[in-house]
Amino acid sequence: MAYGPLARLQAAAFALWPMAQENRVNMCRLLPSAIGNKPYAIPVVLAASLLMGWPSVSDGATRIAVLPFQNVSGHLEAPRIIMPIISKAVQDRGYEVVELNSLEPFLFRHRIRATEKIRRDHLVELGKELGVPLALVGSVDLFADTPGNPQWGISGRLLATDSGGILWAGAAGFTGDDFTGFLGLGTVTFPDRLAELAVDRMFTDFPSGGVKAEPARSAQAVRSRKIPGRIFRDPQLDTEPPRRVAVLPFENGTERRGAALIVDDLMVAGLFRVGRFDVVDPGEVLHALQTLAVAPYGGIDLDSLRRIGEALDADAVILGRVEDYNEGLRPGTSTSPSIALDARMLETKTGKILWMGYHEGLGEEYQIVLEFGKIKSMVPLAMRIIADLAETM
Amino acid sequence: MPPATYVHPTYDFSLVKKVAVLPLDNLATDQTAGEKVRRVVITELLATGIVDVVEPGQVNRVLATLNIQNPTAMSPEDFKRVGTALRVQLLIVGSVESYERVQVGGVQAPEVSLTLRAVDVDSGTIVWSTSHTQGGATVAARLFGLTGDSLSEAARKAAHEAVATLFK
Repeated sequence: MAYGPLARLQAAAFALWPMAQENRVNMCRLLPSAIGNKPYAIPVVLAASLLMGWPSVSDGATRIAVLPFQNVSGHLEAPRIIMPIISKAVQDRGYEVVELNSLEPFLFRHRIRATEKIRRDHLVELGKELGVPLALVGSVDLFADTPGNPQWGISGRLLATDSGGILWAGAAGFTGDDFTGFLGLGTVTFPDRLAELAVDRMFTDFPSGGVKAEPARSAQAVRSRKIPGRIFRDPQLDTEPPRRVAVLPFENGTERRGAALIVDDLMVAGLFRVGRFDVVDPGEVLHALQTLAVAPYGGIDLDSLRRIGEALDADAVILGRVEDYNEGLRPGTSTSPSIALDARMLETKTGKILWMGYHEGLGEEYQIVLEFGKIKSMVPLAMRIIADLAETM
Repeated sequence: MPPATYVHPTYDFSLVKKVAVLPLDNLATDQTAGEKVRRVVITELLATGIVDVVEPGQVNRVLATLNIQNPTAMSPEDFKRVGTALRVQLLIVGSVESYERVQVGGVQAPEVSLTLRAVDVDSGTIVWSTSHTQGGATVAARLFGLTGDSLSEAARKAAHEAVATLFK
């Protein structure tokens, strides 16, 4: 939203001056190189902004950093296709997205590679240096450019840069065939178009820019169904539930590289959306594990558990194993996705098992009639399975 | 083959508040069957609501600390040391004999066979032992090709039946 010339001048000065004071390098990058270091640089820029139509900073737009999504899909082209779509979708929802040429130098300077699991101190620095109260992180979990029937799977989290808290979490996935309607028409065959649809779906309940971001638990909960098999649930979850829960890296018992990484993220999103616990961001978890030199993989000893609990201020942790993760892409196998995972929740102070369960699902099991209801893509199936489990916690 | 179960006639199971399940001996072709069934057994034990079960990660840590590399070949002294370290009254040991899909006519049916034993940590005495098989070449599978359960469900049923005999 644009304002009058004076307001734009004030806004540009307000935006530029703190950056100039705190980081002269950033300031120089913003300015034409000819006048970069000159004392008259700032007044020149301010004047130029009035003449050239410097993009005004709306009072309503919130600045946000969209960090490059981690690519776990195995397809090298996936980020190139979907990241611009994600940035645009965030912008369309009223945010001012930090330019890549400001973000990338920050990531390089701080040697941040795991952008999907960013540490809290880096988040705080990001917030201060780039003036962003929010950061969007996430991962591309699935991209298959199968001719005529592409597939996408993505997940994301909105973080507050000052606290590292999760404000929103979501995930979505589609196959082109999900849009096939009457007479076989409507199939989305272009990966770019399907990416737009997947991003739109993921951002269904994304908070709008300009609104103070509070943790948003969606009313659009994933429908869960009764879980076959056995779940153990300690009565303590009703009388004295954990306040804050951390998801530790799941063990990957499948051939799919990255399956456990994907399930970790989806478990965090699923727990967040259930809204029963405060969920520690995976970036904080990773940092704590690295700092403590602990590598829980399928199991954890009591001493490590207590140290993790103290480091993360977590009352409980969730860990487990992915037993099956089949996206239905392997030649000669069923095209219906399937997943199986077991998980348990441990109280950090005592090591007590508060909850333990196993769940599995096959996409075609959800079919009601004539392909209706069938889950054809892995991410929605995984979210459904995780929602089923999370509902019992 | 009907399940075979032994329960010590004079052991006071009411004194058992906490147990630990040691890594099961895996005799199945699936290399991960031992751990999968171990977790199922833990869930079933917890679900009885009678005992607490030690987190398997802590069990593994104690075994490593005490340098016990083969839980299937532990002496009474070993059971006592492990049990004391874990603060449990019983240690559950056992084996997974099969965890696979077997060919039954024209279909593949899941078959899970397991044997479990409970050892009193103070005396090293076996106070409970049971063997169970679930699935395989059932009448329904042979006649109608109904395989129904997944391997994990078959394992759950076998573990459920086995654990049900412990606190009878």
